[in-house]
Amino acid sequence: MVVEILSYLLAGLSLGSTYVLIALGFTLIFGVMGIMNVAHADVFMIAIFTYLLVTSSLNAPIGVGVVVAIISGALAGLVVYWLVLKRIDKGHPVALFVSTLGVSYVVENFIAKRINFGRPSLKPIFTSDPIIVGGIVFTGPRLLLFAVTAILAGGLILWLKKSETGMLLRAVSENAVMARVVAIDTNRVTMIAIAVASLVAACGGLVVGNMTLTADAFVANSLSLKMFAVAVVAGVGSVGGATIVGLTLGVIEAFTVAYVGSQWQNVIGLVAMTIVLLVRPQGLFGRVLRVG
Amino acid sequence: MLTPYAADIFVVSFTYALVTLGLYLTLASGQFSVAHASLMGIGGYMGGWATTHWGYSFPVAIVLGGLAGGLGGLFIAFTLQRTSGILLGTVTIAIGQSFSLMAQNWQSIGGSQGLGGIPLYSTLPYATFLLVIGLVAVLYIQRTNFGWQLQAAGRDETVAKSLGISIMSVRYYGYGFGGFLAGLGGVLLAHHNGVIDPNNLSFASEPLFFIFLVLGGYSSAWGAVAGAVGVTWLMELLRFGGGKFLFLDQQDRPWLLGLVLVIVLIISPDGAIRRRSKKTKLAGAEA
Repeated sequence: MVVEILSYLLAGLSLGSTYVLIALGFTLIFGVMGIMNVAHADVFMIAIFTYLLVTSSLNAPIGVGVVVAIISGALAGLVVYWLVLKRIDKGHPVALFVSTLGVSYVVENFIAKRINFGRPSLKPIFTSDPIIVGGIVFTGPRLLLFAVTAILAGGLILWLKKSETGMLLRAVSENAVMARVVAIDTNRVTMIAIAVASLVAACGGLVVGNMTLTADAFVANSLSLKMFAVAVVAGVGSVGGATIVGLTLGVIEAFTVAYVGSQWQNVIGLVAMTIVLLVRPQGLFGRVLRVG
Repeated sequence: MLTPYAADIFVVSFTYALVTLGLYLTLASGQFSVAHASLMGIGGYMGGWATTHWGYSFPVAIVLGGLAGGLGGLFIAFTLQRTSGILLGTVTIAIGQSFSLMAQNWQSIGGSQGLGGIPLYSTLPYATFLLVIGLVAVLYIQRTNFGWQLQAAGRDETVAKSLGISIMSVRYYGYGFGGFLAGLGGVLLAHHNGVIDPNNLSFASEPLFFIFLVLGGYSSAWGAVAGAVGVTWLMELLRFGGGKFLFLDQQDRPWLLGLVLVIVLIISPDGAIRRRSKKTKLAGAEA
């Protein structure tokens, strides 16, 4: 019984880690730019496909694939910013939002077409024999996911708190106009935020791809739902909150699947989000929202 | 007379036009929604169920489907009553996606296979009739006093509120009626394809309606209809010649359309065709 519960807990934490890795960047970008970047979840997918291209089509070593995938994920975020987000009139939040929707539509369908709407399989990045402790099975890919999530989430929170760039970032997030008044280069800070957010998502894509071992061009569709749910429940802009809420959501979902039924898994996020929005619209950990 | 092929494309384009009209109406009342494909899907499921399982006639199914879409819209408006702007839009994505996931897991309505065996009742007269009714209703409402309130709320919520306009009633109306129109489109779609499945509801089918709306221009109901009909026909015409053009084929159309959407938004955030404002030019109308 205890073993069973603990293994569901582990499954939940690994699900939650995925949500955390994707929601962190989303919430960071929202804080700094004040926009909901739907295309953010696609960075996750772009990293997986870059890795696939480098390791399978070009036959490069795994390590090269990982590095190239992470770099191109970060670049993808920046390219979207340079090409699209920066060029759309800030006075049209709807246009900005729809453009991120459009970008994600273009990227997904373009990549899906290139692979003829299939689901190619990936070479594993890291595997090991399962380690069994007291009846609970720890697999290599899952341990890697936990380690990467802990390092990235912890590192991001520390970086935002302690480093100078992190403080600048929080200043812009707090009040962009005021930040500009005190001579903070908001454009540079925004680019740093996007690069960091995309880097985290790209790492997430790789470690999750390492578990599923398939590349799906439309993975962002189901993932973005969780990304929104976590960010909204935590309070959009709250990085620490997103970590806690993401892990919690994953655990609740795993127990729902185990004891209630898998069809209810995806309803939890929606219900949580709906209740939070009715009772506490700024989110559990959020300040009063700055929308638009 | 029209060939059956052309009539068929008109039915499809009018179906899309109804949904786009619903989206236009919701956006025009200042409420941002990315859930209209789901509302359409709810209408489609309802209408399909009414004809296949309850044995109702098509007109009854149409009304039921529209009402189901409208109720879905009201549900969104109710649950998100304390949220506004872009956050509202984002959360509607999640709600729409959840509807789709629920349909996928709901075995008695077909699960991921969708609801099939729906009789093919959607003919051109039905589609034309519904579109004309929808368009006339939207155009009429916009000329009433309440319509001006909607437009005011669409332009600037704060100012509208200060003039004594109830944002909540505007929102219920915008989502309710917008959802109703989307639901009508859904019934037509279900009875055109003979099947409605969770993919029709999902987030992935959402950008299509924004493409129609942005290319047609957000600023008028005519634009919404023109965008939907025009783009649907354009997509059909690209099928000719074996569907091949340079290195592109039919399955390249989605991302090409998405690219057009993004480019149009960069050049002209108000949509490709802009109607000049009736009285004043408002810069940077906030959502």
